[in-house]
Amino acid sequence: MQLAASLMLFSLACSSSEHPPCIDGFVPDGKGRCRHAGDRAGTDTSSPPISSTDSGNAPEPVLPQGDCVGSTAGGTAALQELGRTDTNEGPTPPTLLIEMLDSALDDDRFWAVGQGGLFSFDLSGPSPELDDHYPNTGGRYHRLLLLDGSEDHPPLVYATNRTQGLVVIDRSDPSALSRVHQISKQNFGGLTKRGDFVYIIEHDGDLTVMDIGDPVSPVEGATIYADGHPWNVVAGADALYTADNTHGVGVFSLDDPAAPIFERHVDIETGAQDVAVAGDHLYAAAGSAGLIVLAINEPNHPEEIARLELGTPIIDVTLDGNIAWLVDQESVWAVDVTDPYHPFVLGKADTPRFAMTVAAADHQAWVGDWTAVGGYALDTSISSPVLSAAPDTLYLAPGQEDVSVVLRNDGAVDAALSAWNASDSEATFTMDAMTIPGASSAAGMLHWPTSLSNGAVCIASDDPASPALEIQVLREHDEISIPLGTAAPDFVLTDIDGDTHRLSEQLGHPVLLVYFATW
Amino acid sequence: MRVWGVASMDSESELNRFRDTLGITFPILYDETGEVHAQWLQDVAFPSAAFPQDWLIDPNGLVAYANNTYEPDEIRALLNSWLTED
Repeated sequence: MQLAASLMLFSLACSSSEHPPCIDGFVPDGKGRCRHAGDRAGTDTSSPPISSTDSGNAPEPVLPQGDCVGSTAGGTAALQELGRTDTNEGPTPPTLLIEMLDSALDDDRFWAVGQGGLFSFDLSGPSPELDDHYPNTGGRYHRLLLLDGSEDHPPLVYATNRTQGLVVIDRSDPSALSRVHQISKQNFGGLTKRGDFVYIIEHDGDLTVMDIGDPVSPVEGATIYADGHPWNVVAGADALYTADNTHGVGVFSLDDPAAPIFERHVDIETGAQDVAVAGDHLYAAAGSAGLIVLAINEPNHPEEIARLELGTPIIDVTLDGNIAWLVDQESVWAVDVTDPYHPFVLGKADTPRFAMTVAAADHQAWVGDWTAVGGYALDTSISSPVLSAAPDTLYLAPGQEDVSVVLRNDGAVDAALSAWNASDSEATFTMDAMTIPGASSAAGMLHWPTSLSNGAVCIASDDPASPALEIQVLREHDEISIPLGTAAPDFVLTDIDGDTHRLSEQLGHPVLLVYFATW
Repeated sequence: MRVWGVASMDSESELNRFRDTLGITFPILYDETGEVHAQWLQDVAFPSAAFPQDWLIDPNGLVAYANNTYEPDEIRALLNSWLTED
């Protein structure tokens, strides 16, 4: 999954050659500021202009240097942590769940799959408590689907596994999970249910239909051949939609539910990592492009209506009433989608490890955070700024002293900045904005003399979640044994097509090396 | 701009299948003996070596960036700064 995320870097390999006035995802608003590009409203008359390009008479306020202590005027944060359990902690972690890829909520219980199998956590106590896991011997699972029980069959979990296929697990006793059926197949990925059928997408694009007339013993039906590289599939009222890593959103029509027909890929100019559906709208987690909302009034012709770029790769989305919950690898976001044409951020909370999946109900979200499960409660009555630096770590080239610091406010209300400070008194930071309106960004200039090594800059604001926002400045990398700016050790390697590549022959071009493993 | 995947801990057939499954179009360099991996681990990698590890080499052949978490905005900021210098 992390490599898949790295693949999205492709989209930046051909970045524009002229210096953009606004960072990615923002557009000039005509007043010298930058607004979210997806905000079709585009009008803000609530605050006075703050940019130096405005012809006001008053001198621009300059952010003063001072103690980096944020204001409490913003109140409490919209997202509060509920509880957390890490399967990798404790004296003898017997049941480690790692790289959680998918999750679901049901009856005060959080279900998640990843390396280690299927895990069930009881959420009724102060922190999630592990009930049971399947299988005991490990295994790498990709996606899961919860099926309610009935008079004829127990409640079930359908879990997909790239090498084992579809595994059907009886969950009537969450502390004693047991396999009741398995359909062996390669490459099974996301799955969704509609009526008497479950649809499973394969990583090479094909779709397999399972007849679940008897849910304990699903019967493999038609396979529909399609291309692409889908991660997940969801069922709308009249069509299936895939999140495709290379083609965006895929559409299968369902005129005959036993034999869907592949209709098209909808070009959203990026790949999608996850997709969720609610009513007439489809929500795609589109990596660095953020959250993309599509109207599906015409089920076979989804049409993009809004885009919320958040400066971080969004990899999972789930709907909870009028709230869309998102995760990137570092945080969980709550987005108000009451008006799907104008989604806006309500809150954001940092997650300690690598958040890859979120499940939510009743304004509470549970995040699969690599090996841990963490809960977050949303208070929709709180409207606060959501401040971040993009990027939040500044890498200085040898000899470089000046670097732009871009601050984003992804919240819906103004962020009031109060002071800056730095780890070293020789550093200076110039910023002529004291306020960053909601869904806007602003930039300042940091001067970091060559005599200074690594350090940090701090911005104090009224964002209750990060009142003292810290931005790391790196001239040398603590964790690697050579300073940044040292010549890269040369190598020659042959690729899997037999072509030879020598690093030192690439002078004149940036080279991104991604060292990875497939597992 | 060059993007190279480098792998040493998988078999060639696993890498081929992985590439086909994900639709990867950049070269996947196969460090079969692990020699390059060992050298980079010694020189520029992380003591707590975990996958993935990303390095960005600037147009002058200097190591400009190293990370073992995925931080696209940091890489983007560096690339943009090089593209606008000309």
